[in-house]
Amino acid sequence: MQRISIDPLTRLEGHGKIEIFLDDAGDVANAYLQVPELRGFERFCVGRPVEEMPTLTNRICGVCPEAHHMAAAKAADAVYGLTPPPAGRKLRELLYSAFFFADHTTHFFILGGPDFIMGPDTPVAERNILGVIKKVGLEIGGKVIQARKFGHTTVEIIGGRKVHPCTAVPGGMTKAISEAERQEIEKMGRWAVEFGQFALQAFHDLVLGNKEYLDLILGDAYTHKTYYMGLVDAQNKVNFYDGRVRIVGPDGALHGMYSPNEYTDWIAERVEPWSYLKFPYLKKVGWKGFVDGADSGVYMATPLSRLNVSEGMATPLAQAEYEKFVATLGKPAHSRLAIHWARLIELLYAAERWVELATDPEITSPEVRALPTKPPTEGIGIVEAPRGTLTHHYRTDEKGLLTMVNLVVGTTNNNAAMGMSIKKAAQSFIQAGTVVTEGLLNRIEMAYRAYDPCLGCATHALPGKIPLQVSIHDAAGEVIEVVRG
Amino acid sequence: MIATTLVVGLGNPILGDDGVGWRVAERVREAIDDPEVDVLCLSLGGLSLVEHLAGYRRAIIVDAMTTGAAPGSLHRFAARDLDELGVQHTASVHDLSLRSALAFARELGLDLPDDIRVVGVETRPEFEFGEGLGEAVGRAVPLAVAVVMDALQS
Repeated sequence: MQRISIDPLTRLEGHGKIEIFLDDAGDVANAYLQVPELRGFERFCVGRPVEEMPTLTNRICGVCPEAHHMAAAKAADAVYGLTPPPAGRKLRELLYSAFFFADHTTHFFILGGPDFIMGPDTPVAERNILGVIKKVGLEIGGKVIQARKFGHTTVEIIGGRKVHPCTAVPGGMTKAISEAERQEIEKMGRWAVEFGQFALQAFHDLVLGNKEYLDLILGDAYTHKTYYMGLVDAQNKVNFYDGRVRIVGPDGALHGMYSPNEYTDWIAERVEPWSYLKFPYLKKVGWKGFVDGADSGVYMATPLSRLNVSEGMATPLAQAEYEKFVATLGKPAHSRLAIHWARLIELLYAAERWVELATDPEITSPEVRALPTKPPTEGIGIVEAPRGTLTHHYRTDEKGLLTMVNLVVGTTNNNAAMGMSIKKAAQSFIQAGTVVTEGLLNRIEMAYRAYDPCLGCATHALPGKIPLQVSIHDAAGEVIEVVRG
Repeated sequence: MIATTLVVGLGNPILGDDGVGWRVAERVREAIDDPEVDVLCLSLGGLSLVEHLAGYRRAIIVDAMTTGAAPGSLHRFAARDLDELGVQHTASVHDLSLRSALAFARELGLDLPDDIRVVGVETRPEFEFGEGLGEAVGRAVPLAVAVVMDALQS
């Protein structure tokens, strides 16, 4: 048996590694995604005061600290039985909208987008934002920098710090915003809405307008028919900060909806001996292996999932784009590459929601926090991280010291689905006798990159290693060829 | 901004040896009293890191690094000598490599330091959550601090 490794994955968090095993004929027998082990976070937290969790958990990871900050604050609210006052809740959602906007911008223009804008077979040295500005123009780069800056500045004004906010606490927020700050946030939000429209226009022109890319998106190599999961508001519209988790099947029919405190009735986790990362699946459907279909409990939680489970977007411009999306792809949409389009629709929604909240008459109210009156017990908080549903579950003693911590993070939800996507792409592109090229391996990585995975904390790549290495092993495990990209 | 030099400790402060960049930067902050020098502790890489460097004339980045040398070994080099992946955090993620990010930011006309140096402290590639450093990496902290202080004086 031959083995091909893609190690480490370019442009992605962590030392992720794809292993592709070929059979004696040279066809793909299997493909695995392997991720680094990050031991002991839950153990590290036990014994600490629960109110530390919003600032502690946002150190798990350098990619979505804001998501952990929010999920932790909501779980801590629940531990104390607190409901934040309206302004506290709205400030959290406003911060979160600005964060989503910046994060989705980064993914599309810097990580996922270059594959489409430059073409999947373009050499790696040009398949990046530098290539994009050379091809599309310098202006696009300036806009990306500006979008990130406005997102980060809004997070800083409300969250007290850039990137690792610290103002969400059990019961609400530690500080209100002034009218001057509100005006500044509103101004940045209005620019963000224009940027969101610009980003979607670019996607229409550069990606959907190119038949080759459209065929790639609609093609079978990147398609899976699974269950989908995402948070929705009371009107079943996409919501990142709050609501109930809605699940639909591969045919789009409702599988069920759950509130945070019911998550253990719906989600179970499978352990495989070859992976440190667990494989969550739908408990009521059951684990049938890494397979598609209504009988398999495999689900996906991504921007595409959120669009699939919802009945649309809560803001007008994003809703209009959502309608175009459904008209083109149907519903539910199963192509994993459509995650990129869904992400941009969410980016526009985040910007519109940013303006809505910044112009809300209650947003500058000084009433931002409810204080605890009841003893702490147990609580669960759920938000949508950019890369999937994020659940924090805490239990404490009567002093509020943690006795149990369980996290189901965005990327983990998609562990089984990502593995399936990698295997299917590998099987579609590598057959007996195929010459394995860098472009071909990139098409396999694209299956993975669409999920915007984040493999744990802020640990990154090794030095001295090339971005992409393929080792082909013979049946005895000996390396017979190394391909370097 | 008065300061012309930035010292950045990179890493995750609750992930054992991965937090060594922070520990070094914190010691540097205590040891110096110079309005020309700012010290930051960050858990960022790539473009996010480069955005913090704008406006300074000189930057020194301290980070964990894994080359296979003995844990606690020190590495020194200029940012322009980084390969595409760089040291532990400079090559983030969800972001560009430091080299690409610098090239991109310069292309856009961001005012970046001409002189960017990297001090790497060798760690093992596996990390465990915790606030302390392992023995070998902990012993390297004063040496890394001295290297940074030397560089500040040069």
